[in-house]
Amino acid sequence: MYSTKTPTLRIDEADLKCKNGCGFYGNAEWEGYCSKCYREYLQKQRSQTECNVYGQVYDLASSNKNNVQISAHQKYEEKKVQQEKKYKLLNISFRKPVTKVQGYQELLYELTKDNSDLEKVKADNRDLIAMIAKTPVERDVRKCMHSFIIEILQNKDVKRIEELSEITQNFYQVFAKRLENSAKYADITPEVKEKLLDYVERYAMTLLYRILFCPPFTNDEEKDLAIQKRIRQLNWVSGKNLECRIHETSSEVRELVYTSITDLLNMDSAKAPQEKLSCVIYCCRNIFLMLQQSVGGPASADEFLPALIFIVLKANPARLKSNINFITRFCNASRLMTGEGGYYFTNLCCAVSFIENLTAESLNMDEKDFNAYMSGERVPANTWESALMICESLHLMCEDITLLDEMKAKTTEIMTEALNLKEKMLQFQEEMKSEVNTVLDRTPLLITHSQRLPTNLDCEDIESYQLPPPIIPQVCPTTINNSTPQNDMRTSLIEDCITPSPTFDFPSFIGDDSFDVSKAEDETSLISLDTQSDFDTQQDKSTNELLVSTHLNLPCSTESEQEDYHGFTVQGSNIPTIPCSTGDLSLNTTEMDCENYTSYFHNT
Amino acid sequence: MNRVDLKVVLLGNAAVGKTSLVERFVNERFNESLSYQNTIGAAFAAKQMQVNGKRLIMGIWDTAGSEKYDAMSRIYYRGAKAAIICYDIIKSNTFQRAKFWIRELRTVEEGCKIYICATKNDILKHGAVPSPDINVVETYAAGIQAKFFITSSKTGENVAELFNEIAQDFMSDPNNVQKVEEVIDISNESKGTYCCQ
Repeated sequence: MYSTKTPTLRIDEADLKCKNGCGFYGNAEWEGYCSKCYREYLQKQRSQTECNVYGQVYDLASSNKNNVQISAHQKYEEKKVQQEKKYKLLNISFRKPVTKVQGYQELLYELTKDNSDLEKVKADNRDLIAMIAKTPVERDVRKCMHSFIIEILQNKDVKRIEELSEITQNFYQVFAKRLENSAKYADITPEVKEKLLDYVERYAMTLLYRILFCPPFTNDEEKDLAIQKRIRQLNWVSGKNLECRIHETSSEVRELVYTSITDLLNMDSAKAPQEKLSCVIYCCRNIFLMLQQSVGGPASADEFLPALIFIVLKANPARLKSNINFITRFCNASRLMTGEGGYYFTNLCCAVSFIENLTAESLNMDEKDFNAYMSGERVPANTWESALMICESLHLMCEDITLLDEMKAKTTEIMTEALNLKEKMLQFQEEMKSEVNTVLDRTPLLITHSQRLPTNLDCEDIESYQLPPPIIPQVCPTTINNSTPQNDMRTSLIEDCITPSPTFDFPSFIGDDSFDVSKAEDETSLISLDTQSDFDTQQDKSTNELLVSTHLNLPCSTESEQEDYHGFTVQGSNIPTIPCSTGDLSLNTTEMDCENYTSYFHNT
Repeated sequence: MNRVDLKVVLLGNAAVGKTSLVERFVNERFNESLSYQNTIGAAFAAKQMQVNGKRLIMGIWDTAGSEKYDAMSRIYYRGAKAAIICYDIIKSNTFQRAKFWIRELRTVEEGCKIYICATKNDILKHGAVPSPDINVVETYAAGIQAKFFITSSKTGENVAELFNEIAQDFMSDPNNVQKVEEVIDISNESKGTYCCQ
């Protein structure tokens, strides 16, 4: 009863039928229409709303135009309104592009105007642009690029980002094919074609950057913030946790760590996808250089990936996800599948994915510790920052140590130099000693000369007077003849009692001078010394071949002195040495002659 | 544009000899027409090769072998036409890992050809015993339609053969060849000799 009652009370069978009255059953979901009628109804409604929207947009757009255009458009609109009902369907397909054209043209103008990045792209490719300027190639490139940009601008609000990406990738492929096949590009070298493809990509993406990078209709921004927060939470992760072999203590390695971090951070400021990609390449190359220092050889992926993860964690690049997505979507796909850039980018994606899914297990640590670190309850001692601080002091210490080492080396150098100097001084002393000795060995010969020096002085006096000399020759011959045998006796006697001493010679030599000066005051001492020195010379000369000459020479002084001596005490100091010396001088010449003669005779 | 790129991924445990294998292959000249390019790291290497008079560039992608990166290894496989799976000839645990990668590859990247590569063959001369037995690996390779090579990066044994085989197989695949010929046809329009054979 219940079952029969309910339908009759609530719904009539007619109510279940289509509102259009076509005889088919309708559905609440289709607003009471049957499937076929609902479709028609929906289509009708959509066209109406689109017309309304168009009208509004059109009014807005036209109000911005100048008067002439406004009037033209107003006339057009009047016409349109009249025709509206007649060509409903036709109007839709006809008007739709019109609205879009106006929207994108403004946008395109806005994007192109004062775009410094775009100017930079142009400047970078100046050679290429100059090469193709005013050729059919330039026109075609421009045409292709323009139609692509328009397509993107038209679809930017309608299609999902994946579809836009597809359009872009298609454009790259089609344009590449066009470069290969079209007759316009027949006489262009493959290198230039490659450059053209690159330029088109660069230019278009730089132009559309604002629209395609991190668009508001995607959740890229949320993901950026999520990963940024995640990396911030993981700031305690050290190289040790990741098992990457980075020698943080080496200053060169630290320098490279900073360089690669900067390279990665630069990625956000680059516009074109290939520029972003090259930032990743630079970063990765620096990581390899760094690993080369730490590992000591070319690093493999087993070392590279942890190092890259470490760099990403330390760099925490801005809008990381957006950048990665932008590259994946709008960089020429062939570039991402092959080559160095593709490999490094894949690694970067891996690193990001590792960071996102990082667990205690992947860091080889205790779950409890990991959670404590993640929540910030605990801060491990070996974070990068503290490591850096330690590094700083270590670095300072290292510098000090090297400074000390340098100083030590200098000190030892000074020490060795000092020792050298000491040795040299000793050697010099020895040399001097031996030289002095040799000189002293030779000096006895000179002593006779020096002994005559005072006489020379006297001689000068005598020369000035010119009178005394004649007197001396008279004295000498007499003494020589008489005293030779006697003198010989004496010398031999003295030889026995006085041992020859070179040291004695020297003072006597000086004494000669001093005594010369003080002759008048103390004659006795002088004379005694004089005789002594005379004997000394005699002894030295005894071996000499020219003994004869000395025999001739000496008696004059010794004899006279002795004569003086004997009479000295009696006569007093009045008798000067002058006579002897004068005699000496005169004898000197004779002696010389004698010597010459004797030697001559000896030689013969 | 007018070049053919072949992506080869290199899989295997750490210290199994992946790096040495690439180093051996890339830095050794066995044909004067080949130019080689030395990269600062051994993780990525590209080498130009010539197969049947056609030029192709082989990009060899090294991957991190550690288990904690297993989740990400799929990112590496993408678009790879060949995979060299290395294991240490005397360490059975590395072969177990190799099996894991083969399973992964079979599910993720079906178009990727698998080359099992036993490394460090030279140590067998010093009395070491292969583990698992060579026959076992051969049977396994045949079962999964993979090719099996026993190499030694130290002596260079089978290294060039392995990479040449990869290039040959790539070129003999009708899908790849079509692509290659199309590109070559376009770049050298005057030649145009590669009609459907």
